[in-house]
Amino acid sequence: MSITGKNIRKSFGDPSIEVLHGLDLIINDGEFVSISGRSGSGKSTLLYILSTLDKPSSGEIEIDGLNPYELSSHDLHEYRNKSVGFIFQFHYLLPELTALENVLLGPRNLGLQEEYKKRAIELMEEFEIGDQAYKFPSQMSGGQQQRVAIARALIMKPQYIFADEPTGNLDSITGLKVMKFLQKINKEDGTAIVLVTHEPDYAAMAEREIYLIDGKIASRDLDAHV
Amino acid sequence: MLYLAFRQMLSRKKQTLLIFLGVSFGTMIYIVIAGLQFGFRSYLYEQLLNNTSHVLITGKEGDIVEKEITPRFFGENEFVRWLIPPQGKRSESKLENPQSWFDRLSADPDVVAFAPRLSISGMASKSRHRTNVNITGIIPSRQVKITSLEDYMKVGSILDLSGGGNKLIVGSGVLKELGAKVGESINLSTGLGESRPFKIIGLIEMGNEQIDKVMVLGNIRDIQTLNKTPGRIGEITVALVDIKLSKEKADKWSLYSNDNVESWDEANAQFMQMISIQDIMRLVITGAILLVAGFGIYNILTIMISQKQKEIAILRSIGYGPDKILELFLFQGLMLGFGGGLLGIGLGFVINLFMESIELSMRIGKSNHLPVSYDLSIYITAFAAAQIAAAIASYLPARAASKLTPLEIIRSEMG
Repeated sequence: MSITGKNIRKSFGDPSIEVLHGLDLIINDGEFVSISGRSGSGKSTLLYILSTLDKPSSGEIEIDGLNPYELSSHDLHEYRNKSVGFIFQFHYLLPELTALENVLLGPRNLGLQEEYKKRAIELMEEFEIGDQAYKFPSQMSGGQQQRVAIARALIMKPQYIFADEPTGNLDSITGLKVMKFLQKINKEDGTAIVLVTHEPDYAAMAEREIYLIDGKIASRDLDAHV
Repeated sequence: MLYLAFRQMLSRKKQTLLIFLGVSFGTMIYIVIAGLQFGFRSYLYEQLLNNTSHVLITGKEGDIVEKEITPRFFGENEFVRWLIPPQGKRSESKLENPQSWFDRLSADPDVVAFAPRLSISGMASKSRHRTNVNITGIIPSRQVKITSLEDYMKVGSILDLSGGGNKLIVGSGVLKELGAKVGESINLSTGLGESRPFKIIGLIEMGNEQIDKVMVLGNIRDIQTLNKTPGRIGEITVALVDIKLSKEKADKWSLYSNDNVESWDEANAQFMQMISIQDIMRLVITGAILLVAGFGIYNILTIMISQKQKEIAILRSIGYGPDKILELFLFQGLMLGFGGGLLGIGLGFVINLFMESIELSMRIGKSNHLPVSYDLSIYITAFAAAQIAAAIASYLPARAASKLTPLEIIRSEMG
């Protein structure tokens, strides 16, 4: 069970500028990997390709041995629904729904919101936002909103969590809290986490760090980078 | 997605209410305008059909010929050489061979009934009071089968004219002009000879002042005698099993003789043209209102979609496919159309009830109220128009939203 990228290249614009230059990497099941690098190094682009939100210009992606781009639209959306959780820098909560309803968005897509309600409340309590369940995003702090977004990403017990600068919009204390949550999820639930961050301290909290320089992998693990 | 769509609508109460009212207003206007137009139309159709029925067979207006005029003025044996020969059109028409029409119509299975008539212009008088009238000679038993004249009788019955005997049914306006009452006698003359006394045995009120002021009905034999044209039939009105057959039958029958055969809509072509203009006006007004409401839905959804890009991105990344995003926004438009349409139907119905309840100082048909139609087709058309306007107006932005990929949105958000 893994995500494998072979010779991944990605170009943008016309004339095209190559952002990723033939990357090879594997994200193993249950692994906590951080992708860091300077701005424009291609870390978010790599994350979106690994998470199926974007396609590489060339090269191959295999998820558990399958090419996601050969899946039907329905199967791809089901994969995203059941196996993947996203956490973005901006929490992207739906303002007209309560925190609990936001967490249950994934199950609602399958008509399973009632079945998952108990788990949603448990997750929210675990993230210390149990008392916020029936509040709207506008009534919550930025840190609380981001924790709702994390609970939303975890509700379906996904195999992979893709987090793009999840602490980028938070103060250092709340940011650290979020990182600890991610570590906990990884350890306790065995959820593989791919984290993009430009914060070296947070990158270092992962089991393995991938450091990108100008679209190339500079080091494959923490030791090598150091 | 219905739930999410509903929640999103509720979160924008003011905008939702405005568009909701816009759609309702469009639907309501259609129902009110169409209700009044169709109500008036049914009344006018009835009036027209009372006069022409489905098909009207009339004699061709012949030219005045010298040979026919001379003996009337100078006797049969007089030789007259006209310096300026008489010319012009006859003031009345007659059917060349009415019996052949009776035979043909009696044998036609599409004919429910037919009624021969003789209509002439004349003068009614009582004491010193005189008034011009249109005198129609009818066969009462036949006439009641093809028109609803009996419904407009205020005193007596059309059938009271059966058997002749110089009896008349007159319009309420004629009585007023002459200062006469039912049961009294009046004199009728046609200008061809002396006047004859007739007894008023009935009163009819069509609700149209112009008609009621000149309408005089008598037994056809009495009127033929008055006109000194025994046996003459001026026209035959024909009722068919289906009004839609009128044109087809009229065209076919017109091939059989030189007489004029017109379907009711041909005979009232000007009126039908007016109806077409009314239809166009109604559709233009309602179309404009629904267009404005449709644009409202379109604009609101377009603005909302541009404001909700982040939410669309997260829904897409969670696994909500393009079809679900399309549904999310389409449902909002459709809900506005559905709710607005229902409210519009309710409002339109209530306003029509109110309009109908207003008492007028004049009579229109059988009552002094505005004729309003509550035909189901009006309500179905209004509701369907609201749904179609809402569906088109919401589909376009919803489709655009469904085509957004999560990454495009995220990249644009990140700047």
